[in-house]
Amino acid sequence: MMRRRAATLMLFAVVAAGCSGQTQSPAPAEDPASPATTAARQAPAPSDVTAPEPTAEDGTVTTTTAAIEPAAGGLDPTVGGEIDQTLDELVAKLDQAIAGLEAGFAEEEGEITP
Amino acid sequence: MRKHIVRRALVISLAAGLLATAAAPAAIAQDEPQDTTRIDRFDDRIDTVAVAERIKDAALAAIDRRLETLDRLTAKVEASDHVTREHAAALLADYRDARAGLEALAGEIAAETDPRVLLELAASIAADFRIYLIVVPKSVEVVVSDTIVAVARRLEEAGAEVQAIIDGAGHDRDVAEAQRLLNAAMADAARAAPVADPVAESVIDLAAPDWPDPADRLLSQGRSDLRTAGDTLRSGIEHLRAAIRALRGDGATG
Repeated sequence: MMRRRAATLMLFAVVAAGCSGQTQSPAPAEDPASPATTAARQAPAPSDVTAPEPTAEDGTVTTTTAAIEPAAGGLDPTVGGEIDQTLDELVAKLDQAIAGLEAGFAEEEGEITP
Repeated sequence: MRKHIVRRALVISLAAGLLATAAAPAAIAQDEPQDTTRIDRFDDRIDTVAVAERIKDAALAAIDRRLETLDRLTAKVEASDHVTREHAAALLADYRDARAGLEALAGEIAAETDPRVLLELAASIAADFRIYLIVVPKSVEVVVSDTIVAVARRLEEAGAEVQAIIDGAGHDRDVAEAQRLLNAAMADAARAAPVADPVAESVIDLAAPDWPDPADRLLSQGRSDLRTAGDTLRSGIEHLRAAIRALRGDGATG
């Protein structure tokens, strides 16, 4: 009785292996260093490949809007870009003005001549 | 105070050196008019023509330096994008008057041969015009005052643009931090302009007879107020930058 059951189980196992074509094994954990994983990480997301990077006449690559990914929880990173530029100009004007103020007072030492 | 003491010491030492090497008889004649014998002895020993030439050269060089400074100030005011039309007109008129006065004085000095008279004329180059004690600092204060007011106005305009972005961000966005920073920026802009604005008016009419009082006090106060307004405005600019970063979700807010 025992021998017949064992033989049946072995026959079942052989048939099952033949149907699948290979022996099943647990899926390996992702190896961060494996070439396949690295390639998958480097592959561009679909939204990044909607257009090729335009190249200027001098060969420099320019950024496209399509390649910009919004920051999580924030607006598009280009938001306020022009305002940022305006603020840079205001800081420059302010710095120049204050430097001129100090230089103007430094000149008073010249009053001792002749 | 220390600066005044140093300046006074420099003036005294300069005068002492000049008198000792060149025009000692003239100074002695003014301080001790009763000792005529001594004066005559000095007059006999010095070459008055050479002394007069040395004084004349130094005086004319000092006038040239002031004329160049007036040219530089004229170019600065004419090139400024922010000086108001009224302020520019007042400053340019001052420069023209000072130039005319200095050129007339240069003519007098060039024609004079008496070392004693030349010394008096040379002294008036500083005392009658105060190019470096009044004209230069008041000019820069007017320019900086008008510039700060203009920058504050532009900051408020940029703030309005950021407000529009916040208003259009949609209800699913958390814009509370950006709004807080924007409010801080606008408060800074609103505080800076009223501090800087009155400075130009308080100094623009200062002239040589106003030295030292009230010119020294008003110019010092103006300089201090403009520094304060400049710092406030710089803070406002940084607050607005931080508001924009908060809107982008950069996280690094101030």
